[in-house]
Amino acid sequence: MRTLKKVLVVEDDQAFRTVLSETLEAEGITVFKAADGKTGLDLAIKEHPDLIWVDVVMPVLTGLQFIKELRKDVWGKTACIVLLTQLHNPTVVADALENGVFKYFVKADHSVEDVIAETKKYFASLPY
Amino acid sequence: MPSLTIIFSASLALIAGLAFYVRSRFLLEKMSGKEKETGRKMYELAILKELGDRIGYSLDVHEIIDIITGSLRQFIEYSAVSYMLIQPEKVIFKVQLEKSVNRGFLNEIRERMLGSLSALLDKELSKSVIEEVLSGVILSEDTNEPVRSFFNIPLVIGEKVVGVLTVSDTKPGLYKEEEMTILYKITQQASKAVSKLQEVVRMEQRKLNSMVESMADGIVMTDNDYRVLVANPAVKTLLGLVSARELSIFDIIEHVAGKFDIRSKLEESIKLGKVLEVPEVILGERFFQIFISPVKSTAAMTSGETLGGVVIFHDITREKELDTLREDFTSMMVHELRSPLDGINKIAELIMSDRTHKHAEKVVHEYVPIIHKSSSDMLRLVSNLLDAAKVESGKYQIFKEPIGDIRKLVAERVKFFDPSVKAKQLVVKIEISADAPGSMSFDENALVGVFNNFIFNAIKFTRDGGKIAIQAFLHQRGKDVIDEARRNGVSWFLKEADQVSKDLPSSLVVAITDNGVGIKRENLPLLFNKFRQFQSAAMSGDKKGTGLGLVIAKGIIEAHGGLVGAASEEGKGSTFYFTLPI
Repeated sequence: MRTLKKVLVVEDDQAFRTVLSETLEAEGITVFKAADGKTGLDLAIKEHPDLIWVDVVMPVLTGLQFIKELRKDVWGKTACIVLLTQLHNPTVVADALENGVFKYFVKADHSVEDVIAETKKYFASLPY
Repeated sequence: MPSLTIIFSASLALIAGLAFYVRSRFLLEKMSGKEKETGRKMYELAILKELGDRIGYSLDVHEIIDIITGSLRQFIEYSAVSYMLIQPEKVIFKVQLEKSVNRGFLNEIRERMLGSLSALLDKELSKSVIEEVLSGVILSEDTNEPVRSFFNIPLVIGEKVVGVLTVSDTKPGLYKEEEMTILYKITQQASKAVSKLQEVVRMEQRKLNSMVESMADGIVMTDNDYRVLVANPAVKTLLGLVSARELSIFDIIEHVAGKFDIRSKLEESIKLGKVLEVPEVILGERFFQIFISPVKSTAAMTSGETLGGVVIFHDITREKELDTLREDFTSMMVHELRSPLDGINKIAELIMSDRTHKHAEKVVHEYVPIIHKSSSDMLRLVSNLLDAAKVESGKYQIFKEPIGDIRKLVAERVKFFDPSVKAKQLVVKIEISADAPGSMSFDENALVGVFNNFIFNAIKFTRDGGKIAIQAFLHQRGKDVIDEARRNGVSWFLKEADQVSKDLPSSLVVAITDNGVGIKRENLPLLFNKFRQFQSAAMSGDKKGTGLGLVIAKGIIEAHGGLVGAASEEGKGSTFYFTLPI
């Protein structure tokens, strides 16, 4: 079964980024943090995390731009991505799913624990 | 010599009698001439009145000539009255016979009329199709009388010969100048009336045509068989058929195929006699609302008769864009409000989950500041939204104080931004012309907000080591602002083409100019648009501003009776200016 060892959080909202990272770190997971899409992209390509949480509305590169850019990378093509959104925008979600995002959360509808637990469950069910 | 006397007296009597006879005959003739003339005048008047009445409803040349020919015999003697009218594909030859004549007579007047019509039009007509209509007395081959009297009058309408009117007789020498003059007068009157009426109709048609031509909506009118009668330039443009001179229904069907069934909609509309609406059709890259309506005659004679249908293409692209913009604004607003709120909520969760309080340090130094920042962001956003809403509804209230000092205000603002200015090593120059009043009436707190916004933006969009100028000068009503600025040594990005309002009252003009990145020409009009600004600020992740500052600044200045504007050259810098009436 796959388990999360290192993850990347690409989120411009400091509060959510902090809470998510702190909670993950408390579980012993290594967390890389980025406050914008560009920094996130560089970190992803450098660190090859097991999973990436990415926000949609962000400066420099938006979440969708981040995903599209990442998919151009050899490793990034198959990277695991979870989308975090504050707006349930069906076109954005559809676009993200088309780009191989396997799960998305509307932030306000879930507690951070939920987000982590659900993500882990999905991640574990993925084949190697 | 009695006999001589008798003869003499008889002669005298005879002479006298003769003289009397001649005289009375002369008188009689004179009398009947007068009567005759009165009769003619009466006839002339009557026919002119009748013509006037009838022409009031008719533009039909046939009908008018029929009226003339129908009543002509009261006045002129003739065997036949006839007319020839030029039609697009034939010549109409109509004869009213009063006396029996033979075919030869008829052929002769026909040839003569055709000859004179050819001469008048300078056109060979002998090969034209001639439609002959006979009425009145029947032809008789028993008589063998040729044409002995003949008289032609050209029928002229709107300075164009449309035909000839002819009277003819078997008797010789019938038509004298008098008859000719009167007949000529009548036809002339009739032609004048018709010409005038045609001109009126043409004028109306021109008006209607230019209206249809210049309409922004695309308009197509067809007859009942879907033949295109009218297609204005707008419809050609929207269908991408600009070069087409004549548009057929098939062109249109082909171009809207799969999107809009014009043919069956027209059919339905004409059949039901109802206006139909298709709310949204995409043609090319634009959205159209389409109306299909039957066209019914409103003319007195044919009222209610369906003449065809009209299709109106109304471009709603702009409205659609505005709708999208509004929707985007709402969802961005939700996003911008929910993010900090959700942050606060999640941080609280985190703090609560730490039941052992082993991270008390972290809570105070890391989590609480996040809560503070998130709530501040939200508060600012909410007050900006409220202000923008007030500006939008025109309810933004200002409290003017009578003694405001613009020099002091500017100096304070510059001082306020000193740390940022130093950090970016910017040079800030203040230039307020000597004629700027030392004391003015304005809402100081509100103006502080405006300056903050303009200066903040200038700092933000100027590279390190750049320059910012805060300039003010007095504008005199009726003078040219650009010229006044030049004379006051103001260097800014405003040019003659920027057209600051021509009838600006005497005001203080304040301009904040930077040599920063500048603004794209197409983005200038969007600067003061609430929806656009908010959206772009949110997308750029600019947490320091909601983008609504400019919108609010505009509201504040407008509440002072002034105006706000911006001019820029991309890559070179921008000027934001406002005016305050003195």
